[in-house]
Amino acid sequence: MVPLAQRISQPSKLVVLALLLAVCLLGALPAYWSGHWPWQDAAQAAQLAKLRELSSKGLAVPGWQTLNLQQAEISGQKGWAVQALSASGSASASSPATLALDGPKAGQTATLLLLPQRSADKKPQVEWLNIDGNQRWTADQLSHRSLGTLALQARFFRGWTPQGTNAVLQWYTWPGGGDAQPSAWFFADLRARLSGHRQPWVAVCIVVPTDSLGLGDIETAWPEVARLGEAVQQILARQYFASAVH
Amino acid sequence: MSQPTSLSKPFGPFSFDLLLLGLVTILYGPLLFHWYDGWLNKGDLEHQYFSHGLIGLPFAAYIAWEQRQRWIQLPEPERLGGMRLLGLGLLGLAVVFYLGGIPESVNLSLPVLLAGLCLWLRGGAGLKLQAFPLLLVLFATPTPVPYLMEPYILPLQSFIASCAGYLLLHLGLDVTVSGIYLYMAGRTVEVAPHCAGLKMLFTSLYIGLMLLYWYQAWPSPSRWFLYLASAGLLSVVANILRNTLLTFFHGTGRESAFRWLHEGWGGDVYSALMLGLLILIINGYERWFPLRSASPNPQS
Repeated sequence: MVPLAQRISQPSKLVVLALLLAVCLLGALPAYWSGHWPWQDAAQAAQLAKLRELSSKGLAVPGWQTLNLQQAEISGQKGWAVQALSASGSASASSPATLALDGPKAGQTATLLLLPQRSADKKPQVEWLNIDGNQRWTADQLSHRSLGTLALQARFFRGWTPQGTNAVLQWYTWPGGGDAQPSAWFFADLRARLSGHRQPWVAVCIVVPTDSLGLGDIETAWPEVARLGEAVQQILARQYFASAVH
Repeated sequence: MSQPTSLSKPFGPFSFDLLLLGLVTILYGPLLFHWYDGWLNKGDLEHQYFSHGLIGLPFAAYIAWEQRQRWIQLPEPERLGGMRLLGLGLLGLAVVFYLGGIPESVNLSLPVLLAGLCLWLRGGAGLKLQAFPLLLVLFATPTPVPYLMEPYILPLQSFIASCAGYLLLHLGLDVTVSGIYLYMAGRTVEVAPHCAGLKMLFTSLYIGLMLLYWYQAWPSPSRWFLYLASAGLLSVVANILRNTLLTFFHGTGRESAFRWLHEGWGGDVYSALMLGLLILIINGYERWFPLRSASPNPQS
């Protein structure tokens, strides 16, 4: 060992070798031994299997009944659940006063689109553009709004075609929150991964037709849309994200 | 030279350099294998954005090897200066990143470690000498940057869709453009971020960077602008043409041609042709508008 010690006599070189040797022993060798490297993350499979059920089962929303539920491919993106909703208030119109205050208007329709994360490496990819391309509407009056007291930022805009006007609300939701920007999910997931878990996500899009003629006003539809959005967020959090640690 | 004679032979048995190389190989061999595997076998899209590393990393290694004599001749700093402390800080950061255990941090630990080694072993002069290969390694390191950029290149996507639509209209085809979508004969083509040539843009800029070194043009700021602007412009034009062709193939029911250019080897050939053209253009600059009378050969 004498010649070796002589050759690497400078302390600065010893520091480097000691540091790298320590990282080898702590980081690389256990990975060589187990064959499991940091870039092969295979976690969260069970949770995703449950999330994927959303594509086929959809979501039961109180106050709304599901008229039709189908799995759809939207602009090449498979796995969307497209759920046609109708306010169930129309069936029990005996107390219209309370319904007007709390529940959706009788006869109101809405479409709920849900895209759950399909696999561990799938990230949100601004799916809103796929929906724009699929619906072929003109999007304007975009704003970002929170839903009630929930810690999330959804995008709210008017999507209109010559056939009619829709109030549209979109966001990604995950156990720790929700936002329309994929980057917000990315940083939430990054924080989660640093402590050893993940933030699975679901893309949510709510389309509420306002009126059938001309360019409608979406502000009048906002309370309705926000209530539905809030309900969807809470059900997802309760039924699908409750087991997630955060 | 102020070094002990035993260190002047860089690759003697049990030399510092050999031990260093061995440890770095143990640490990063599997990671580099994973990178190359993803680039060659077309792994996930975000990883693909960095496939220029296929040639960039060997080129960086070649440059570092070529200037090994200059590295050896750099004086080893005796005292702990600010630069060396920064190097030590970077080494520490690389250790944290490596042991952090999430793919992004492990990836990033490689350029941080290499920069830290340069600063710690040779001070600021060491970093300056290896600046170019370090840049090549940094820009070939897969990071989430393209993923985070994707939502913001919507104007580029719309621009490319509009230009492709314009070209097709003038060829007498019935096309409608809406945002990033081209509609033709009941079929839709989406100009997605990777289709808008974010990947091709990255690759061309990277090749532009390599050519800056190859022609020894990097000391000139105007050459940086000329090379990188040419690379950016060429990749945008190439993408307009590519999306025009894709829409034409898809809209006229030539599905096999569409798939060949979209995900088959046609796309690779197209990119290779574009990069070849970029090399020809930049070679033209240096031939007809040389920066100075000196030979452009970096080996001289």
